[in-house]
Amino acid sequence: MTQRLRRTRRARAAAVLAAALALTVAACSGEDGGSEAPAATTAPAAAARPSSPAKLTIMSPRNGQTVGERPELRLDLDGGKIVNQTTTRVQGDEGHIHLHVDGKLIDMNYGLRQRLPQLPPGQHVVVVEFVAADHAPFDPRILTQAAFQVAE
Amino acid sequence: MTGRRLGRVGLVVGLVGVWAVAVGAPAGAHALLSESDPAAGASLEQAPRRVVLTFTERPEPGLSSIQVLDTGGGQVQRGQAAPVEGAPLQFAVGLGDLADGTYTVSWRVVSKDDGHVTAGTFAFGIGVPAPAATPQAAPQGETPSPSASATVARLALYAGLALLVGAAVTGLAVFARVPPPGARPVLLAAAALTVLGGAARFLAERARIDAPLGTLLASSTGQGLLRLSIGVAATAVATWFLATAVGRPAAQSHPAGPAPANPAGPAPANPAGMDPALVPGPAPTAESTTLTVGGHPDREGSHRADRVAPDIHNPSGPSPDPAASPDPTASPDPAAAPRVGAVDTWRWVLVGVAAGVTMLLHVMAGHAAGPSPLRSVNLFVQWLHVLAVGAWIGGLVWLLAGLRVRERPEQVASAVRFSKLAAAVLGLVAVTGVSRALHLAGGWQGLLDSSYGRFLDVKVALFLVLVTLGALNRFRILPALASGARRLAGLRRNVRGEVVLAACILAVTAVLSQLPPGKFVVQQAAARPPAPPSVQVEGSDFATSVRIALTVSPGTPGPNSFTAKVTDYDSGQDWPASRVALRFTPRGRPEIGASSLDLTRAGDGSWRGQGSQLSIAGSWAVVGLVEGSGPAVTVPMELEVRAAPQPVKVSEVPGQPTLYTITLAAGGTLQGYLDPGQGGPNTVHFTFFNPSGDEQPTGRARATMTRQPGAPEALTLIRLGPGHFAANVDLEPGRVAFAIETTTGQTQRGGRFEQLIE
Repeated sequence: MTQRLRRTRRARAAAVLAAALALTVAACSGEDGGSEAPAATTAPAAAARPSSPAKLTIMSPRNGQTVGERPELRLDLDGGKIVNQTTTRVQGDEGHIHLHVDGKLIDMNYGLRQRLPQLPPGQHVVVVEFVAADHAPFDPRILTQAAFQVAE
Repeated sequence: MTGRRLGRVGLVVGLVGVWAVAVGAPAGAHALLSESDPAAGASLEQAPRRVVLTFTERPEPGLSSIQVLDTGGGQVQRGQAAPVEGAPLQFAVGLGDLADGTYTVSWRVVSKDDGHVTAGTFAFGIGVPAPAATPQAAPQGETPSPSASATVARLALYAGLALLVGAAVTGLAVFARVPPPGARPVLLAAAALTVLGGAARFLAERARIDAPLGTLLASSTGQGLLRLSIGVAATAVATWFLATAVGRPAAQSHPAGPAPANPAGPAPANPAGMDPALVPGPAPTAESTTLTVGGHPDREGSHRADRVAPDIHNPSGPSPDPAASPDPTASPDPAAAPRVGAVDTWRWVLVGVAAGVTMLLHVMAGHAAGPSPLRSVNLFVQWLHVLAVGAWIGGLVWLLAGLRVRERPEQVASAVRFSKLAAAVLGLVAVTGVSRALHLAGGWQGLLDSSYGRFLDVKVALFLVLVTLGALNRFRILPALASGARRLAGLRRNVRGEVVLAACILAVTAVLSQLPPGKFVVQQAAARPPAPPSVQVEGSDFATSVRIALTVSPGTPGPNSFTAKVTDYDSGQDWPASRVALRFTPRGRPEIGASSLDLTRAGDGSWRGQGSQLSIAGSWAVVGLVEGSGPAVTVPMELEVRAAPQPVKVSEVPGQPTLYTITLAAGGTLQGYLDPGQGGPNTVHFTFFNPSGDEQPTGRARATMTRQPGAPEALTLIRLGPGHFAANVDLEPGRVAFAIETTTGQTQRGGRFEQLIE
């Protein structure tokens, strides 16, 4: 009888404490409301970049392909669209194309086809990136590359 | 389970349910202005379509407002200010078609996170310079000083909750469920303090927010206050259940049968001849059956009649209430006799849980709830802090009550048990307190330069004195008492001093919780460029002894106010001029033509004017033209215009280039970044945006890269858009700075950022 009474009291106290702990967890969960850290000035602050569902593919020139001295760059963009305006009101499916050849930015594209500048014979690498409408990258970055040969 | 027990369980579940509803919603610190668009003091070429203010916390829609006033005091905003979609820290209001002129932005914001109110004003100009008195950086706004009523309300709430948490902790861990003498009125007073404090806090917050009750309750701030009120009411109910049981024999509250037997077994031998209360042994259990005046079992749970006479009729005992007499229905077996005055465990636990959850609700409407990636952690740590402080400070009051028992051994035993408990709680107070201080104070600067930091310093100093008194109890007074070498009066005096100090700490905390955290003040100071000093130059025409003392404010590129004092060089008297004008020519910039500004005579005899003739940084030749009764006089002067400091927002995300957003004095922003930002080939991007966030077309641009230390190198810019430029650069490890400047008509835009290349 005594043992049972003791167990009952302890169980009662444990139940109340467990309920309080559960309340605490409930109160403290799901309230972070996204990343709302105040913007810091002159000090680094994490500011999330938008993500994009887009997939960018280089259709031509393909990896290892041998092409002429002014090859045409053809791209495929799935899940995103190229917009003309530049704005800080960025969206995940809208942006521009930044075009790099051999490690140098050479152009910004508003289309999916473009003639590359004249390239000397030999190995070259083209890197294209779908960037947000403010010209800064998405997170994660949407970029792809192809290494090709320009014929003698 | 009997019906009565079911009822008790139902009561607990019901209260827990009420708290679950109360707690299950989000609640944060002061919403200070971090930036504005248009920038304070900006002179815009085109009228903006809206005003966007960015705060350090989420503004509460419905309770916050932005007004834009013209020079006549008329409101020119359109509609209600509202949060910007996708940017909860931004608050914006639309504007109509604004004519050229000066406009004042007046804002008042209630933080959605903690209900604190901030307000501020600034001015900007369209087609004209903003008033020279306007600071260049967005004013952060001011928080109303903590009101006396709000401070008293918080103090009452803290004191009440601390007393109740302390009651629960000491009731269970120090006094073995037997309330000390006079517990009932103290419990009821604590409940009353809690209720009054909660109600007064609600009223004080409503007065500060200054909104109709319906509007307030519809806001998350009002709902947070409502949840706190529910918690306060539930705590009062829980306290009533405990207070009504005080003085009632334990057996009455346990109708299920006789009290349990003592399981603790015999007491261990006393090896040192010290007070048996101090002999190590198992902690007291709720089932101890010692029958003593104080009703407290000794540490072994054994019978202490050999040390303390079991005079249950002693009026000075812990239960003067006649109801405290032994239960006549109890078993006659002494071993199974109930302890006099013991109160059911669940009643103590209920009060502790109620006060603890109400503390959590209070914490959820305070600084710990401010926007942070670690918000949940901050809330939990702050809650642990207030719980620990409550257990310690409230416990001190109950210890003082316990020391009123006349039986010295029991007093010493209680003091020893509390002292050990306090040591553990104190560690928790210190760890959580330091953690919260590191998060909120803003470093040494925040501790010294902000009101929050100074109050925190006082709080820490009082805390250290309190710790010293506690240590004195633990290591000096209690051992002396145990050996019989000291009287109890010293211990009582010391504990009374601790209680007074604790009350002072609560009062400081009541003020502290209403002040903006020091870290925000430090951030604001860092964000605010130093007030631009005026530039003063002088020149004289010795042929006529005309002297001009010219003051240019702020003396940076863009809008400036000019004040010329034209005097006679010899006598110092005002020169009788009929017209004064200034002609500006930049040195070494032949592509920028000369410009003039006519000044008007002011009441104090000086000549004043405003204009944006000083459009770029560098050396300027300024010629003062003075016309009077005689021939016109020209006074040459040289002026050095320094680049204005620019607020730069740095955004770092792993795997991404670091973004630099530079607020431009001419309005809008410049976004720059270096990709990839490591040694080797990189691309640097510059994009100009107007105040609405769209690309700002610019004229010809020039950009430089400066490897530090070193001289600037011109960059070959590629124009990728009307306001978007890029350049390819090769970088080595070290610090490098990039700068760009453009000229569009008479408007100069440019900015600079630095990055460390690894």
